[in-house]
Amino acid sequence: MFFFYHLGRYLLLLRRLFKKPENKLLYTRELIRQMYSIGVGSIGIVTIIAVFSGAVTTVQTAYQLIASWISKSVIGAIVSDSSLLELGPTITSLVLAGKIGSSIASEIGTMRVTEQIDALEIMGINAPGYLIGPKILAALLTIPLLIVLSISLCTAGGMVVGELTGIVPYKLFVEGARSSFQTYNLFFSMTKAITFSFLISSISAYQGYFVEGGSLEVGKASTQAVVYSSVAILVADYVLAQLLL
Amino acid sequence: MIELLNVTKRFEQKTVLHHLSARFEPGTVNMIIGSSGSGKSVLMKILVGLFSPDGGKVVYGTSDFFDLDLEGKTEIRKQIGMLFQNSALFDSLNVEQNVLFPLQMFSKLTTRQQMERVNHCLERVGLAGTNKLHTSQLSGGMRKRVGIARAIALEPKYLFCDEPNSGLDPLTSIKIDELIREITLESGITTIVNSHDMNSVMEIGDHICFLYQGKMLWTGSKGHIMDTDCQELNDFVFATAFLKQIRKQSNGHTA
Repeated sequence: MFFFYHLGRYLLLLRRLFKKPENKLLYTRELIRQMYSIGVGSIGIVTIIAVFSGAVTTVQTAYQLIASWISKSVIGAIVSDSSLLELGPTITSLVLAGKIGSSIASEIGTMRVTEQIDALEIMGINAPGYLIGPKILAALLTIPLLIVLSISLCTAGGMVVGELTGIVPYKLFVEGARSSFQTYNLFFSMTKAITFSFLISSISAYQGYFVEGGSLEVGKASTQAVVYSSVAILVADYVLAQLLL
Repeated sequence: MIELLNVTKRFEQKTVLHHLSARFEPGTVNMIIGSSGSGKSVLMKILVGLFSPDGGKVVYGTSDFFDLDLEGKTEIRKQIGMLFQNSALFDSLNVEQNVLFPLQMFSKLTTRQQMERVNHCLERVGLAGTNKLHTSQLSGGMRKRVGIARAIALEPKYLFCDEPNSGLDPLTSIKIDELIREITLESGITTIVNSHDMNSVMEIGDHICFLYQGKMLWTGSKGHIMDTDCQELNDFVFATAFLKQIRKQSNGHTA
């Protein structure tokens, strides 16, 4: 019952996004501001996570491939495929759920408890459309790009560590990565990226929009946004894998 | 003109407003007074359309607000300015951007005209030259003034003020009251002020509605508030020791 109450309210909130903007210029300006905040603001953390994920995957794959008859190019294949299928989209999205999700929920939640959302509504502005719409759209436009960056850096990180530590020469790594690459995997990865972007931004916005109380509740909403977004990502990850692979 | 007709509001099983009716005329400052928990804020939220009533009507001009479709409601909302208790300024914007925001969203003025209007509004509230200050750099009184400037930016027909003096020192309170009164008279706005500050009531109130436990127990002018027979209103008005003393002296003098 509790789940369906929130699902219904979440869907009704999303429906309110599809109203004509009062002023397209201001909405566009807000979209650009959000794209900068979500996209550019997350490049640093995504870079660190991706490079180290790739590096660790290379070391651990090499550790498990003890048979001498297995070509070391397999390490390149495993690292690049893991980056494309899971490390890039899923791990990056889980990290972004923490960073972007809490930011969206606390920003909107603070606006709610300080009556800024009431002020928008009294002015005749569609508050969900102006506050949530640009955030979801910005997430849909920038998070897939961050995930492409993450996949690239993850693979590169694995390759560089393989070369520097002597685990696998870079030529063999590239050979393995190339041999295992399938275009369909890229499609699957981007499908996940778009789905996760929507889940992170919309769930977090929902948590912030319906905050009641004060700063304590805003903090709770922020935490819930991260938890629910992360759970939704993992569930969607499984469902997409089951459906598309 | 705004008219409340038999407005009732319930939250779950509890009725917080009981069949309220009142009429608020243009060019007057209408005070809704009452102690904490009397239903003032709920009534204000119904008046501006944030809550819908469980019974009754809120009529703006000739239109029942809650019978209107979304477009109709938006049109009326464009004619509403509101000053919030905590000002509700947009944190991410500076003073100028806060006042400019409704103009950019709705007005058909050119950018230059919009800026002229912003400067006029800021000048009107005594904050000329503060355009680039961030909201975090403002005092409580300045925040209220910016809130008023934003509320009047679109030249509204209706102005709502929720506890405009809360958190302000007496001198600043008087200045804010004067500003609200002047703006009301200048533009013939219908102003509704939600307050429990008797200084404000006596200073600027033209028409007063007293709420007690969700019921409108008394309406009238400030000239009649001191000699009312309504016991609950008397208890509210003469709540402070200072005013009790004045009344005692006044009664003694009369006797």
